[in-house]
Amino acid sequence: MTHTRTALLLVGSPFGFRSTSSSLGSYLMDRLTETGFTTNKVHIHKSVKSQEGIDELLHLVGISDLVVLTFPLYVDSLPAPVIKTMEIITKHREEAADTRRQKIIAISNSGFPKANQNLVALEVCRCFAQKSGFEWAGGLALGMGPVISRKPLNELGGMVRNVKKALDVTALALSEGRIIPEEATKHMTKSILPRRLYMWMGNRLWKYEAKKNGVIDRIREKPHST
Amino acid sequence: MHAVILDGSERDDSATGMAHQVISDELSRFDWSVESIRLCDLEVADCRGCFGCWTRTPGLCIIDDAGRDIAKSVVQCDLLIFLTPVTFGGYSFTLKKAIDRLIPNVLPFFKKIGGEIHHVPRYDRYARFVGIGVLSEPDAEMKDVFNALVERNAINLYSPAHAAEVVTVGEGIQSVTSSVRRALLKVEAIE
Repeated sequence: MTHTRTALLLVGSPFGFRSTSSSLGSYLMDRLTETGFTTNKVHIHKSVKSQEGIDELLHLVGISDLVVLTFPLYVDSLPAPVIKTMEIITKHREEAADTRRQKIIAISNSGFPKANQNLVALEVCRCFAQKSGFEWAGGLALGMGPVISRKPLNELGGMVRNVKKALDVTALALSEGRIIPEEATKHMTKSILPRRLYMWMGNRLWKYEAKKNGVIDRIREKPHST
Repeated sequence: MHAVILDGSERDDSATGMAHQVISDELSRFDWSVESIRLCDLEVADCRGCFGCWTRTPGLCIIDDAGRDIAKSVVQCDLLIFLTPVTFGGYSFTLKKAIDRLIPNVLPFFKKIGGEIHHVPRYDRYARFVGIGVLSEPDAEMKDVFNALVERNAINLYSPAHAAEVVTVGEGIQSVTSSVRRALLKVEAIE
């Protein structure tokens, strides 16, 4: 009898399944499904709020051959609830002494234009994999994450072609038992938009939002100045 | 001169507790006033990622809890210290929760610094910054990741000077003191 492989998507954004982290992870999960994986999804922020959610998360991690962790970059690292989840998983695995081979990968996306600003966060993920007994299968770093705007990648046209290429190559490699190839990391680090255009659009967007909320004249306020 | 220690340890963590005492004693010897914030004793909500602190209540997190007070203390101090058990090479969940809430202290706009894009500072001055990590056992890789994280944070926190040191559980007080002194000397907080 052939063992059906299972992949688990852990979404580490406060916006859960309606986030850019989820868009990236879901696209990869769809590709993995095509190669024969069955998939599950967990919204980390929601799960760690209750013991029931934690138990379910630990169960799904336990039955998975592959864990895919996706998250937005928060102050050069992972959002706090993702670190809490890592602490919980590690403690559980130390106690459970499960020796099954399981792979883990991580996808970090940031609002900065350059993908390499995610690299320390991916190193934290690698250390987590080591500490908790997962086989580290690599990480993908994406800059200009907000351009994806929490939408499914297939709705974004050619703009995200390199992102999709990266995830296609990653899915194929993982389905063949390999780690994320360098080709995938290179595709993912390519700029989605020209850097100057992205910065111009970003700066305008913040002003637009502040204007909409009636605080444009206060956007540079210093409430904690001494 | 005023220093703020953001302590991300749990209540039963005696090794980080010792490091906290050493930092506090060293700074007091050089006439620093020290504000010790033990984060495990405070209710700090997780950042919601809503960016309301940039576009609704500029400079203030929309969540009115201890996270707001911490952001204020960080802006107003002269020396900021992150003290934490090294967790997968980074900060503990308890410390990271407070750090995620420091986003209001910068502006949403982008600026190029040293060839990289970062957010524009909101304030005219920012504190010197020291990261002290406590490892449960020697681990060169995690130490390197911790040092790299402090280095990255120093850029985004606009610190005029920064230093990182990692100590290991079981180290004696003299060894911990010498690591702490090294970090404080590097940022010229002590002589």
